[in-house]
Amino acid sequence: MDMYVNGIGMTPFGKFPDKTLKGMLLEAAEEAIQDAGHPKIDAVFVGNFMSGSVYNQEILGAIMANDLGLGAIPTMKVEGACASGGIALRQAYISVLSGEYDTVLVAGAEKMKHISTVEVTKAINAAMDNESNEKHAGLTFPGFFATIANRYFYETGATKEHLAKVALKNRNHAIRNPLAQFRVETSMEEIMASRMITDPLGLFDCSPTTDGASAIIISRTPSDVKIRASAQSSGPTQMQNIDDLLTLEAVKTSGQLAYEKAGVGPEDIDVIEIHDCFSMTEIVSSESLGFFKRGEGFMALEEGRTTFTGDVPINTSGGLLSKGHPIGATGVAQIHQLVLQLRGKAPNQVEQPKLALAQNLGGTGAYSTVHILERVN
Amino acid sequence: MQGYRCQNCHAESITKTTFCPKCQSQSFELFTLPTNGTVYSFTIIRVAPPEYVDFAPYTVALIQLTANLRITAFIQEAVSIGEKVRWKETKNQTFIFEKVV
Repeated sequence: MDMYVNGIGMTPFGKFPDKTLKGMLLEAAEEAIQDAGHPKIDAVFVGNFMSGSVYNQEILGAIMANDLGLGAIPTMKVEGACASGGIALRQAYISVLSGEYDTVLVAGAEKMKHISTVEVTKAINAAMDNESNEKHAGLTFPGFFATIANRYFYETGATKEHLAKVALKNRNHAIRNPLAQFRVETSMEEIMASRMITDPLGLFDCSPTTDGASAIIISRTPSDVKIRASAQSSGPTQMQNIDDLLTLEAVKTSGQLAYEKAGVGPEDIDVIEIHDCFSMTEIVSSESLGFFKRGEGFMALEEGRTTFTGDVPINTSGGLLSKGHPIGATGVAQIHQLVLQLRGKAPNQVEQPKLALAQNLGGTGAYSTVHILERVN
Repeated sequence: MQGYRCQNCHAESITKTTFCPKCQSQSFELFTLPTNGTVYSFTIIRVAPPEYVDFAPYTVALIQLTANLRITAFIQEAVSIGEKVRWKETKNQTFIFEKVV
């Protein structure tokens, strides 16, 4: 069965004390519904990670159906840490594939800027196994990717400057994205000198906390953007159980599954959104997805190959690092940018892309989704 | 410190699973882990979770203990990859290691 993206919507990403979680969800959803030509919606899937723990608000699906005025249709919320949005999209995709629904609304949102850094860190740490000895050892999410980074440096000869090049590239992309959180110019010097969070990751190597929402409509009704593949995999929930620290196994497997379903390979993809929760993550995931060989992704940054004018354009939206990372919205917002790319209307527009790939990660590599889209007009 | 070894495929892990993720067997044996190991990788945590703020900066390291098994440990001091470390104590479900002087 062929499936399509019919509409997209997205709020600006950033700090919005005057916007509520519901308000952002409705804003993004209305835009997507209008963009799709106001079709009849058969179901709603919402990706969200911590509305319960930090905002005391659940039933997001029912609230959306009610306040959008969609009637008695079924709804649900999907949680998979930072991959909540990608998993919501995949569940929506499967529901249409089953034949049960024809047209489905997928939304993702997070409200994070109203609480302190300590509170938000604690809430995010719920995406680690509470009973594991490594959480008790004081490991954090940046700490996990920093441990990968030190091993990566040791094995490949890459340095902190390569991480800085990821941060600088994504910032330069975000500057031209009107919906991005960080649109102020920076420099290698500022990035390299920024406050160390967990060695070797500094402030600019880490994605921020963000308020925001994004929404898309998918259906069997043909549009100019076809969904060629949807795939998901799980990986180790603990760093000490990872066989090869420089391969994100769930990313690799979900990528392989998606390529197989679409009948394409990494060399066929024209524009890419990768889950760059940290600068290091973009490099290892670009390798795990097959765009570069293991241990060689950092070289592409030296040659500018991953900027929007390069041959492997990654995170033309600005990525999580600079577009922002409202957790539940992230996986949906990646699709938003790729649909704009395929429509030829994106910030940092790549020249006539045909195939686009989005990869969304949750936990310490515990969840990964990959979606491949194709321009069909 | 003890690890789990699958009696069917000999996969080793510090954590127990219901089924062996490699071969699906349910037969595991506990075995005693060596107390000396090598730093496989590490990070120095400067921005710590609330309950660890008093220790910061501190090191969290992956320690290679056997050919097939690594564990995540807390080390108060700075280390580098390849450095020899040894088990000091297990406190609050945390493996605490120190440098071999």
